[in-house]
Amino acid sequence: MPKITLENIQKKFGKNTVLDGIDLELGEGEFTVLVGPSGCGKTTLLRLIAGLDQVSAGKILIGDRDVTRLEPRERDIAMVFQNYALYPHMSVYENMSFGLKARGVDAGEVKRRVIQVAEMLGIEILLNRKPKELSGGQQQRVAIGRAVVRDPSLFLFDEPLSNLDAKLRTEMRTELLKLHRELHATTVYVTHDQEEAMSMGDRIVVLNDGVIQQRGTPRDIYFHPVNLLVAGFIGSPSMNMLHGKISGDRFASLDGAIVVETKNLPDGDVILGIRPEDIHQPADLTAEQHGCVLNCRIDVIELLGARAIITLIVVGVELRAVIEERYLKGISEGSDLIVVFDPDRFHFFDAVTGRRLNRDRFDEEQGIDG
Amino acid sequence: MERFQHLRGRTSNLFLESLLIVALAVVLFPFVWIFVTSLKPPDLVAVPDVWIFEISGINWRNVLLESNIPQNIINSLVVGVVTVLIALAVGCPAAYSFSRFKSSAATRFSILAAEMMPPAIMILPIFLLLYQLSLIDTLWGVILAHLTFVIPVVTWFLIGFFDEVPRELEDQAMIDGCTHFQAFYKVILPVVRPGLAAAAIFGFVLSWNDMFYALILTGGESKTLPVAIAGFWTFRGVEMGKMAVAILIAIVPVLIVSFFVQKHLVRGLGGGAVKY
Ligand SMILES: Nc1ncnc2c1ncn2[C@@H]1O[C@H](COP(=O)(O)OP(=O)(O)O)[C@@H](O)[C@H]1O
Ligand SMILES: [Mg+2]
Repeated sequence: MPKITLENIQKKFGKNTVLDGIDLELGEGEFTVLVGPSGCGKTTLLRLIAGLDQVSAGKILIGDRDVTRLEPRERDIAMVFQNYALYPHMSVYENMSFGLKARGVDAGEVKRRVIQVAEMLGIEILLNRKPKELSGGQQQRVAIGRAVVRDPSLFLFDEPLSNLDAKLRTEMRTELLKLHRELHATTVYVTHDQEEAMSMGDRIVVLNDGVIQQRGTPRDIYFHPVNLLVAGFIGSPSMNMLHGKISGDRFASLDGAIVVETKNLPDGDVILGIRPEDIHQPADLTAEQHGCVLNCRIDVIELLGARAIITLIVVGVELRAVIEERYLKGISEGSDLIVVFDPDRFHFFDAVTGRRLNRDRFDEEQGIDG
Repeated sequence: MERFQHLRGRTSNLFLESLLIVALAVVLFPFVWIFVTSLKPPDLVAVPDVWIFEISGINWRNVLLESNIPQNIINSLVVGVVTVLIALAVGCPAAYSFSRFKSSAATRFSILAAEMMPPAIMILPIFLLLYQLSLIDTLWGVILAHLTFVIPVVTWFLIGFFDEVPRELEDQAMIDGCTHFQAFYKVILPVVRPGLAAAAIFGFVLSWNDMFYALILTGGESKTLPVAIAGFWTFRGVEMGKMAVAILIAIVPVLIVSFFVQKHLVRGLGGGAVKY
């Protein structure tokens, strides 16, 4: 039996429908990452699960217990807010023990658990400080500690790393994953950062426009996005999108710059998606993988370190590509460059509905509608 | 060029400073004058431009030991404290509600609507009501009258403080096992404590300073301090020396306490309006 079940959750604020029919099942001990652009309703969904707001329609089950109408305190859930929401007038110890005391755990037990969790998170020396005497990273740990110490049946994290600097963010990411391996607590982790989502989730749920667009492993979502929204959102820099037409197993972009053979795809207006990482130098691919060879002009080069993002222009169309730094030697902005594509990595989408058209082996296995 | 600007900055600072000094002198002079007056012997009290005289404690002795002023001070204190306690008990939950449940700027301003009217409009109905309740010339009567303006002001004052408390704080408390009301008094109230203190003092000062309602609603034993001060203006003339002493007693505590909460006072006076 799944640990948490959301059935057809709807949430409206006045006339504005923020969530429109969310169905989701979380298995015991699973770490689910909920990702979507800002304003897509991620926080709203967490607040509904926590009981801080009431659903407009739908059901929330924990185990087989219907908690839809229960108060937050009756749901046995812990949440880490984006701004940490530490009680400013209480010490770290009081912050961490507050929930246990409110639930009537006896004093000795409270103390034992707070100290145990504080040691686990390396914050035992901070126990007597007030939140305002802590750095952002320490506040973050306290907020996590306050959730962990309660040993709840579900953890909710609302963009917990978004207020940290980049370095600390990657460190905390790893640490949170370690913590999860240790505790095996059922967790919903919300982020708007697709990279964070890819690196953390056993399972990713992509939310946009109030509905779940896709769920799957990071690989599924990266290699087989089910529609344009997911394809455009996951991956950085984002996928190149070329408008064009398929007729007679041949795709031609509108301006005719790119022409490739297709297999088993219906005729019609389509959008071809190519990830920047899938644009290669001729030497990188074997000759039979050269599905399409293009001669482009280099517009901009942005060096990131080991890799660079280059913006290419082909007959007025812009393409972004990621190439390895060693290829930069012979080229400069304004010069010409020959690139090749691997046609197995092409993503075709219906230009009208935005749905994915390729049906490869993966799609058959997953039973996803093409 | 840079040096010139620096110089100009300094001269304009000098100019501002002298303005400030003038303003301070204008504001503070009456206090100094009253203080000096309170120490003058009776025969010099009515002569304003005498600055050198033998200091006399007679006015202070008269007021503190031989007049009703101590009783009036106690009356004012009782009225002020009780008014503030009731106003906080009512105003806190009210302000919290205005802050948390979406309220338009117009709704918030309506809290102050009664304040916008001249008190003369309010006094007649209040007088009649209190008369029916036999509360004329009692401290409870004055307290009720003061509540009509202290509650709105305290409420207004506190909205801004509640607005600054992130909602997540009470959400967290509720997830941690509190009811909404427990979250309010265990987490939110302690967080806005500076605001509560400032609101309490502000409300107290309003009540302490009120002359209009107290003058009409009290007399005899229930007179408050401002009314008693006005009482020194008798048909034999103004008893300037005693009046000066009473005035000092009336204003000094207010000044001292306000000084300690000035930061929060300014914040609160912006009320719930700033967020819109
Ligand atoms: N209390 C509320 N009242 C009205 N609209 C709200 C409320 N909370 C959120 N919304 C709206 O719901 C949408 C989703 O918000 P939110 O869940 O915070 O997005 P996310 O967390 O994904 O960035 C936004 O358009 C926001 O304006
Ligand atoms: Mg959010």
